[in-house]
Amino acid sequence: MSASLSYSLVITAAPWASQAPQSALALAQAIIQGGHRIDRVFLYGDGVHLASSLATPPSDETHWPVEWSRFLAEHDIAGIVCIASALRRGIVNGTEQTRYHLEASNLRAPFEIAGLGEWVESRLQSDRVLYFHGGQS
Amino acid sequence: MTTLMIIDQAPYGSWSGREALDMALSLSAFDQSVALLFTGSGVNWLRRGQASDAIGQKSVEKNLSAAPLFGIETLLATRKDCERYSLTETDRLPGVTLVDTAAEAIADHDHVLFAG
Amino acid sequence: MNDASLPERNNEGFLENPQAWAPEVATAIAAEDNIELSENHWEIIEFLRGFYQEHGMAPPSNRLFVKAVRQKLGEEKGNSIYLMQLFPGTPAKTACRIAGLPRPTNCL
Repeated sequence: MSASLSYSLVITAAPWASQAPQSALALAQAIIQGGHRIDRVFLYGDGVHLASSLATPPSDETHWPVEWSRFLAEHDIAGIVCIASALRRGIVNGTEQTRYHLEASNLRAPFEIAGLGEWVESRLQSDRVLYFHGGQS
Repeated sequence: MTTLMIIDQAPYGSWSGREALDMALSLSAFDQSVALLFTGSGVNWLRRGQASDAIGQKSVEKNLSAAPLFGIETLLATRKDCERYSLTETDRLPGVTLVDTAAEAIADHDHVLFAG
Repeated sequence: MNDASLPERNNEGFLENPQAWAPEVATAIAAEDNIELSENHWEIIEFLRGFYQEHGMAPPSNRLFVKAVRQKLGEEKGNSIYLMQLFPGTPAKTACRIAGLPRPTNCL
């Protein structure tokens, strides 16, 4: 049997705009089933929409933010949302809501807001860093 | 360990190039070696005299000119794309090195990535 | 300059409009942090304002702020201890606030 590896996943495209969050989840499940480890999932650019607690798809469609949240919680994996990407796109936690005097916060647990330093750390720490982008227009 | 960030989209129409630049800056902040490769319509990032005020966006030319001050010293561009977009040496920002193919630049780096 | 005559600011004390800055504004904002601006402070403030003018951005993180100062003014001033002494707290944030530049997004 081959040695176990550590992975980080970077998602840069939004659910319902791209298949990227879905493909990433399928791979993440396979990584865990294969006995490997995921250090961190990092949402960047449009990928931050995956962490919205306000997304409400029709009840007969898969709810990608919910599926991802469950997966992260179940396997105790850090889900990090890039702060600069998130603020531009209106994904905020309580701290940023207070800081910027916003009307509401909408970050879905267990996602956390942090900086690109987390991504740099993934590059140094994980054996593999995999990117899930949307299609180029 | 060296990283190559590829910018292959023209500026202003897409945000991914700006996000690639932010990634490059963050690598540099942690003293990781990083270079930028402009290819395809992405070479238009390098055009001098961009007047982006009229479309209400910050100038990527100005932003990019800060890169060397933060330790990002290697700016690469593919020769044929510069020709295709009539980007002669006088039209380009200073300090850009031309490569014949993207493959050549990719082969020189341990990690290669796009921002989106 | 008292509080009432300062240009509009956000809840962390950053100017809403970088164009509204003037040296007296810097003096007043610095005083809130009990900083009396010396020549050494002004050198950094002018560097930051020039940087913003030229590059359309402030250094996006404290580390890059230190790097850029080192590049421009040398090792003696481009180190975090020197900058921390002048601008306590997070130097990039404190210095940007006094120099009238936008709040860094804390991205890095």
